[in-house]
Amino acid sequence: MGTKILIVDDSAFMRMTLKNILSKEGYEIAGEAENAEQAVAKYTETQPNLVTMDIIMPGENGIKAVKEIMKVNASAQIVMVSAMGQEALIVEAMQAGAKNFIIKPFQPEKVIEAVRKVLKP
Amino acid sequence: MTEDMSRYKDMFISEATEYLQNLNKSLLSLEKNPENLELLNEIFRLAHTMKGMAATMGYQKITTVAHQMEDVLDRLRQQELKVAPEIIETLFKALDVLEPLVREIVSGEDKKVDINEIIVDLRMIMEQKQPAAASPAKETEAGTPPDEKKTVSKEGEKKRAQNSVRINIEHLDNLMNLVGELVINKARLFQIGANYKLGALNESLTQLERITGSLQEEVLKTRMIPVSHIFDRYPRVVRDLAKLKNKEINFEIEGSDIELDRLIVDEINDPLIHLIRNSVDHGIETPQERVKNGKSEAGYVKLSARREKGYVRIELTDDGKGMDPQEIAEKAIEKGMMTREKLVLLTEQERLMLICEPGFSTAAEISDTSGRGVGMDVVKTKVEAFNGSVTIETQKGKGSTFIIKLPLTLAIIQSLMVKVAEEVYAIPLSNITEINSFTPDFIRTIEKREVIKIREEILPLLSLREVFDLPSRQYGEEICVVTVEVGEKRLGLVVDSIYSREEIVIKTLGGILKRTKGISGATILGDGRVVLIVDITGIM
Repeated sequence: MGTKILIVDDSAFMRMTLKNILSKEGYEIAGEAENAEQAVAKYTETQPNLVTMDIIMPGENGIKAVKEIMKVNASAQIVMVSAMGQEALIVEAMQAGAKNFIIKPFQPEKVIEAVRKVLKP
Repeated sequence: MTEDMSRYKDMFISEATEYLQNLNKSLLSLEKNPENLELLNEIFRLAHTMKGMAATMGYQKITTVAHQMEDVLDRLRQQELKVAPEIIETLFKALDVLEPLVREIVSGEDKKVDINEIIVDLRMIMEQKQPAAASPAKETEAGTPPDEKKTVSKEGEKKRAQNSVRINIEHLDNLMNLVGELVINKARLFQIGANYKLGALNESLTQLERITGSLQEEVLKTRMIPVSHIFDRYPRVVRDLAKLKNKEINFEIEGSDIELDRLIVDEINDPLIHLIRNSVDHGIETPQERVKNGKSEAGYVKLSARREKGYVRIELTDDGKGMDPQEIAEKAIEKGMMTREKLVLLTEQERLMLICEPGFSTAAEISDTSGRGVGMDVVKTKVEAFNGSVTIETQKGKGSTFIIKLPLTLAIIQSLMVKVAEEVYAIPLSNITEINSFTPDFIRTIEKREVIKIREEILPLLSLREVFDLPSRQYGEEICVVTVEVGEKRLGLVVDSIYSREEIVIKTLGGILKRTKGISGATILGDGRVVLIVDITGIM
């Protein structure tokens, strides 16, 4: 079984970009979600090894999703993916249980680096 | 960026375009409900996501503008700034800068869009520390009622289809072509089966027919997009123009979920914008004038779309000043487009349609809004090019309605095959109103033109032999007349005989054949024969 990653972002464009970067690296994509509600549902359903989580999304934001996922699995591995200018929110997300973060715009290496760091025990 | 991002371009463009449309829509709502925090959050999110996407692609200008917008919107939603008309205006202006920037990516050419001005404007807003000098009446900071909040986010979510894939339109066109070939070949096989009386073949062909039928229907469906694709832009068009003209207008849209062939949707955008501008600019009176005439101060314009057997009917109605057929006719005479003698023969509808004749509106009266780009003649030509029609209903002082009827799709049509001098021609069934046969003594001649009287109505005749320069012949015992109609105009086409009714796949003529008079395209019959399609609009 490979390492499964769930991608959460409201922009299909961003999801595609992340998906390509991650699957090229050999990760399996567990699924995609475009809002917090879907993210929690997909997490419960697919039990991925890692989640990449956008913050600003329609409806509830990504931090709320982090909190909900942590309730489902206290050792969930979540990497925040957020655009520049949202540093305060990233701090909040880390406090809620996220393990790492990536700032958009990102370079593929940065994504891989951040994901690897979290997955390494 | 090490990764070659160019293949993400298409994805970016389609999503960014969608975001821009939603931004426009949400800003329009915000203008009406400046206190709605939920809307503000939505707008902020759209600008924010747009920034992230653009930055990932390395589009500097879009990133910068979106970023500045995001900053302003953030201040607004933190309630550090108040939503003021000037701010909304500036945000709209920012969208107007983003639009050409996205289009620049599509076309690949640098249009030298200047972003400095808008950046300065946005920064200026950021520098206002205090809530802008808004009117004291807006002091109440209360949030919107909870039920209103819900509708905003729900709507956005519902719109996004969950199980969809984006496909390049080129693939769909190819698919359509292939289905077309399949239909043609199916017809050929039928012909062979019939010629050689092969029962077994015919049986399986019946099955094949059903399958190709469903396939064709499915493929056609993939080409359909809702008219909201273009309708969503119009509230903004109306708002801007109304503001410019100091008019107050309630604009309503109905039936934006109606679907049409993508090609048609794209092509009718300009004509529709022209009609809308006309309504706002010339149709609706100034508030003072309206009050004087006992009307409400705000004008009313409504755009609606609905399905009607095989057609989509788009209507633009306004409650403005309306038009007078007689005045239009007088003007046409003045411009030398029409003689008074001919005028007598025109029906009211035909007089109204004079505004669609080229040269009716002259440079002298072209205002900077309605006169730009397409004129009424172009509206009519464009709609008729798709086998559609334009009609006008109007009442002086009460308002006007422009009705556009469009076929659902362009690629496959039902048509009647007729024989003329041993050749077969196709006439689109949608243009045909009836088929009759007469004995030659029914024909009368008026002004050197042959006409026939059907149910007390005079129908001008035109022989297809004449149109296509085929050897003319004496009328036999019976003459076959196919009555065709475009808009309000009718014409009786004289043909030798009726051949069959078939579903045909339209192949456009290319190269030097493109502008052949009287021919709109060609198709291939089951027996492999190439048949020309009569351009009804062209021969009218």
